[in-house]
Amino acid sequence: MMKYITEARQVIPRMGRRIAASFVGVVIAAGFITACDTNRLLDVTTPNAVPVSLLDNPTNAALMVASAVGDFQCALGSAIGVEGLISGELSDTQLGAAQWDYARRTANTLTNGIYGTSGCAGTQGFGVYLPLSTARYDADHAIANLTKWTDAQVSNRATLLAISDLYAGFSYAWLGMSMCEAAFDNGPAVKQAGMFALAEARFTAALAAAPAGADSIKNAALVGRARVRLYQGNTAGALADAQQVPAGFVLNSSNDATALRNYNRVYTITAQYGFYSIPTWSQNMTTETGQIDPRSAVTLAAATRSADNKDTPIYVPSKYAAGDAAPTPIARYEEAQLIIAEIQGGAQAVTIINAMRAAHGVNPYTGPIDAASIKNLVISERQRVLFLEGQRNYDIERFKLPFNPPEGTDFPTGGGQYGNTTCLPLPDIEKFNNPSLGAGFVPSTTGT
Amino acid sequence: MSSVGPIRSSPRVGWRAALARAGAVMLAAALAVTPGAAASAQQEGGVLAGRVITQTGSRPIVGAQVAVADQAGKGAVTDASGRFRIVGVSGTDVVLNVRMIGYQAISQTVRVGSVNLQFAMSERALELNQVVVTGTAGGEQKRELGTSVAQVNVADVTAKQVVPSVDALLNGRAAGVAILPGTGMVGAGARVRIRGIGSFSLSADPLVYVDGVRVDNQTGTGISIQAFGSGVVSRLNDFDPDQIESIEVLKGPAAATLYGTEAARGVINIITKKGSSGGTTYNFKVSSGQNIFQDAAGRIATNWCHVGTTSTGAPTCTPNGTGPLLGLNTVTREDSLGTPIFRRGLLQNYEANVSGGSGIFQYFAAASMNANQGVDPTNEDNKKSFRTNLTVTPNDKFNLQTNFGYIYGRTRLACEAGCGGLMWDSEYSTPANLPQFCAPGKVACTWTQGFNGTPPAADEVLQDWQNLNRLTVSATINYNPFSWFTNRLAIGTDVTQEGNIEQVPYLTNDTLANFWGAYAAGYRYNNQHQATYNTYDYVGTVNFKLRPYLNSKTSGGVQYYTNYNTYLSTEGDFFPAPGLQTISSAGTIQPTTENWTQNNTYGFYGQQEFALSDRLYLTGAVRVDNNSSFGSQVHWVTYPKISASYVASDEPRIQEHLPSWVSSLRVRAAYGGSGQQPGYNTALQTLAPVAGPLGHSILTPNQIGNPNLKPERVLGTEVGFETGMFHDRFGIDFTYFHDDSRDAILSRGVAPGTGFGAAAGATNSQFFNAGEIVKSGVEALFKAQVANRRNFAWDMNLNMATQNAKILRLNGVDTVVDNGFNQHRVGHSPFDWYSQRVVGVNNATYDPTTNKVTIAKADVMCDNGHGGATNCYNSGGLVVAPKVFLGHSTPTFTSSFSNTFTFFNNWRLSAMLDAASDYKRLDNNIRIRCQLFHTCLEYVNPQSTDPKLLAQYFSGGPLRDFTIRDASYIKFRELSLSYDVASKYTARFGAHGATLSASVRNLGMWTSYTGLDPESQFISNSSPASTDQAELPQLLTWAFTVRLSY
Repeated sequence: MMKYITEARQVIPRMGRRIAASFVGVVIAAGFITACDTNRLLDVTTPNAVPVSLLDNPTNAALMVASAVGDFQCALGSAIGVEGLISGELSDTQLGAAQWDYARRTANTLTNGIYGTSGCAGTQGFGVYLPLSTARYDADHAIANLTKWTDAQVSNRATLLAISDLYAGFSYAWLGMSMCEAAFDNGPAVKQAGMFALAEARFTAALAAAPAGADSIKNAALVGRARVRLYQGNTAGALADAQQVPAGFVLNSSNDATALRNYNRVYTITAQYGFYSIPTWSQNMTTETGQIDPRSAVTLAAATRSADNKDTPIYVPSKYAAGDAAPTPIARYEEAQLIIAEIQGGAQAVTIINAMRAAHGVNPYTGPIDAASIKNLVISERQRVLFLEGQRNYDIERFKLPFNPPEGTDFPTGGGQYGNTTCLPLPDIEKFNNPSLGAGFVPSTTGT
Repeated sequence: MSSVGPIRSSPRVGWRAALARAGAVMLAAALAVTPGAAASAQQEGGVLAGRVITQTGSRPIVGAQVAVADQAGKGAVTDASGRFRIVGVSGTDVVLNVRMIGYQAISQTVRVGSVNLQFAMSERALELNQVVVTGTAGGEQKRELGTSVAQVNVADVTAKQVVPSVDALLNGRAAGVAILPGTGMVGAGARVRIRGIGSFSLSADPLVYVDGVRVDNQTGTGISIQAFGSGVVSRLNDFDPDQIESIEVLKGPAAATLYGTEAARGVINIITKKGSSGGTTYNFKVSSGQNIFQDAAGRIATNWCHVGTTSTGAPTCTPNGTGPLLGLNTVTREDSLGTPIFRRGLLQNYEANVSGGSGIFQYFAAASMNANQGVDPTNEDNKKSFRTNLTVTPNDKFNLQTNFGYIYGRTRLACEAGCGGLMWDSEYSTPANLPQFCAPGKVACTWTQGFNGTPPAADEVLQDWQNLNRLTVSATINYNPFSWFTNRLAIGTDVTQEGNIEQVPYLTNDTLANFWGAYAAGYRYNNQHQATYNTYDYVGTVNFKLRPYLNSKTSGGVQYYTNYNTYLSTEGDFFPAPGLQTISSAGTIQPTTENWTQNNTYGFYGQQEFALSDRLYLTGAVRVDNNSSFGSQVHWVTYPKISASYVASDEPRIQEHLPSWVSSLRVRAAYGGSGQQPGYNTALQTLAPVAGPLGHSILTPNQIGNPNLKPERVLGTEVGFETGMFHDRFGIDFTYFHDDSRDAILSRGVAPGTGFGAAAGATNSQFFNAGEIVKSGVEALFKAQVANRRNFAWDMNLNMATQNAKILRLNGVDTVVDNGFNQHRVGHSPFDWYSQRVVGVNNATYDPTTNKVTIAKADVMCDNGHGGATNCYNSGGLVVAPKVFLGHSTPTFTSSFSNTFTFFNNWRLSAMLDAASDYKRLDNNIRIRCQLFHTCLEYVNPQSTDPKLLAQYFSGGPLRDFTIRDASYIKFRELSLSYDVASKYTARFGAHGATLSASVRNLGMWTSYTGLDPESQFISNSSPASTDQAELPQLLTWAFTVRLSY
């Protein structure tokens, strides 16, 4: 080795020249490469997505608000499906394990379930927290921008702002009806009462922003605010709002048959695809006299076979039997009337309910009008009038109604027993990835 | 310049003339690749011909490289009879180099014109002069490298037996390269993992190059026949093993530094067969055999119920009851009825190739056809492959090589796992679905015949297939203007068109239609995907002899890779009438979706190597890359490399001190970096267009993005040695590696409260640089020639590898939950299994009158993580016990053991076992049967079952540590017997050589795993953890093969 070192000392100058020549070549090449506009070589397109900042431009204000409305309508469909399955308005007729926790009412025990991760456009399993959160984000994002922009920048700014507030209000309201807790924009957890309060604030803002003539926005905001005020125990406020809603008012989601997102979700998952049906106890529900209430009637989808096996008949609620484009109520006069009946009780409630019954040929209520009876009447009436509009599950929660089938009953399809889910807990995906809730990490508890 | 007459080698010819001549020769070759053309070329220059055989036994060596020293393009590859012929040789005496993987190289001076040369090569456990592909021009000898490179002599393997795929070729033949098969269906592929898992969320698929150009390396393509987003077709297996000469695997970042970003998981170089100078050689292969579901009745579960009657006297079959037990094994039942569920699939394989050439022009052309049937009656894999490789060497300075490969085929697959299919319906059979329990008049019910819900006839209605068209074209120019300056320019493209179709026809059979629900009216889904990979690669090397004992080699290279994917999907549901099959004829047409993705990588490198006395090699290199997926705040990424290799046995002073039985010894060490890029556009925050109300498009939150996203940067260290002993009859190749991934990327969920992640196709995830993962292990290859006698030789190979990965850091915290069963925890391997573990039941009450065991939730005790027990549930009935470590999800030890016995020169018997251990897998079969469907014997017969298991069954889902089971195995992977027909017989039908072989794959296993198969698993779900759920096990395959060479 010493020999090498000695010789190396002698030849290093010559070696150096040759090595230097080699390196010069490499360096020149590298310099040429880096001097070129290599970024062009790395340019790629994103044909199926656009930067978020696109909607921060006043010229896109209408698109921004339409997006908020569209996302809410899609979310509403999936929320109705999820709430319907948990409350027993729908039954599962497929062999997909992901939905069992809804049908079994055990979704509250498996916080990594699809309710926190799936979107709104599915036909088999769909989420509720994510779609509603998306709608809420859209609307709040729109409110922030529209508040910042001027009328000169955005035509119809007041109307767009009112619409954004309205749909933000319904998004928060539905989140409160579905979730035990939720978090927004990586913030802290908010309980149901907090969500209803946020919803009320947005409805109030919608009423304030709506220009003259925007009656539909105002009436929908009144129904929404009455609902969440009722849920918060503000019966006077709820009554005042509900009483302002004119007869015949309805705000529907504009479903259509052009894209899965816009389908009437209940029709799609029952009559069209056969993944869900109406369980026997929710079919053709009757009044206290045994009369079938046409408002909760169901229709046999004779041509549709269930996805699970060969025998389960598929029923679709008659109110949605028109097809994928059948509208879904977001807010309507009947709900306002039921809120009034619930608050006023007694004979006034009977009068309201009988008036609504008469419009559908249902015999009037003639039973006792003590508080307990009227409460049961209102609950029953709400179950049939608002059938598969997604409100039954929160009624079960707030009225503490018995489960059907009872908790502990063996679940026939996927094992285990029926549980007691009403509201859904904050999902793992929120708990573990929201920095306000622990930044995605849980304490290490064990070794190997 | 315009002449197309006789072309003579000239060292002074200009490069423009060389190009023109090359073009002329290419044209001539394209017009007529015929023996006649080759024969005319043979008229030039001197001839060298002869045979290469083994030193012991005088067996012909197939695929040996014979080359004339210092005369570029003057070389040949031996044919099936070991013969070679080189024409156009200049001079009177030349040095002939003979090389073959696994044999000691020969360099011998021969007289030009000799046509009966014979070279007897001795098998060598350690061959350091073999040239391998490392990213530099012309490759490097193994002795120069500081890293280990695995080489598989494919031609030798395929000469002995039928190897169905490239991943099967790699299985057990390269230490540290794990092949994780997905399913036993023909046409399905495996995941390839080199040195274990070193990333949280990025693909662990190694890069794949074919003849120097990057190609599509996706391992999970096609229709999602396992559900949960998993395709099972691997692009790696598009390439026909019969057209491959060798495969080289660069393992780890230190070896793959020059390949830059994306190469951290290793690089697989596939080198296809090339033509060689000499006479035209024709090779034909015919192979036929069967694929068999071995012991199907013993592996498919038997499911149980208690037989009883209802109050009206109707027969019942329920999990909970007191009546007699009824067991159902659908395989046994259907066999007895003469309607077997699974078939014996026919395997057919035909291949023909022609190769040869002159001193200037060499060619290899091949065509092959593979038609394989799986054991599922709908499973088929049909491929046709064509290849033309041309080499033009107009003079010593210039060489053009073109490679053209085209593959087309159709792979039809069947549903399994979560998708349903025969496996699902058989494994989860239900006695309650037997005809005797059907209500009167329920025809469809009687069709179910005990299957889970769908009888085979209804399963087979579904048609899932992938149409494939794949073109891989490359051209490589080697231009060496001076003896000290070499250049290589490689340009190529790999275009893969996949047509992924799923359809159910309009069913006219009413009973059959009942099993398809609304889809009995049929549907068709069509997904067209095209992946294009383009490679532009230039490398120049300057080689100086600075002193007689000191050589300097300086390399510089620049590479530009583009990857472009297009997707077009559409679906039509519900045909109005039978016979209609197009999407446009469907009643409900889903919106068409279109997308394309692009990813470009641009980088360059410089490398300096010094060689002292041709035994000490010191190398330093730097690679710099940029990639279109990097975040906007991230620009060039630099990867360094240094390595040393010292052939100590060539050092006289050391040689004196080595024991006489040590014939060779090399030590080596390397340190280097490589990377792994994040996915397409994952850095961007985006909105996606979706259909909004009233026919308007709207924008919805899509991907939350991460502008600070950096590539994973992996720095690896590797040290090792190779030694040959006892005249190279015994050899050891040992490597220790340690890789450190500093910016390991984790795909974390996006908090839904942000509003992002709801759009179709969104992943609800955000990539971020989460922490640091280190992995280390050893790889050892032992080769021995146990016996080497005239009529008997015994060669033995033992490959062993360990891989241990550990998370060092998770950005300041110590645990992150990945999903329900796998977690990433500091101090543990990524994706280890974690769950609550039931350790005891305080009280279980058995009621013999109802045959039920009752366990209160309060009595179920779980591991508390500190060696004690705690209640699994809280008072509200929620599982609150901590999740504890249950095991590793991927093997930490893999091994293979192969032996080849040669009898009487012509007979060879080869066998290979491989093994994997120290890992567990999720057996969802046992979960579904016991916990969900309640059909396992342990559930229906609870008085004999461990209450700890019952407590889990009764939980319905939250408690299920019983599903994580040891999956260690030893498999008898290959057995083959081949016979080289004696020349006196082959001469009778004009052949140079003929080989007959019989081979069997997967003919046995030893495992404690209780599920269907310790290997089969979901192929491409996001977690690499192994999950078993009604997938077809690996099949037993036997084949008989005849090879002829003319």
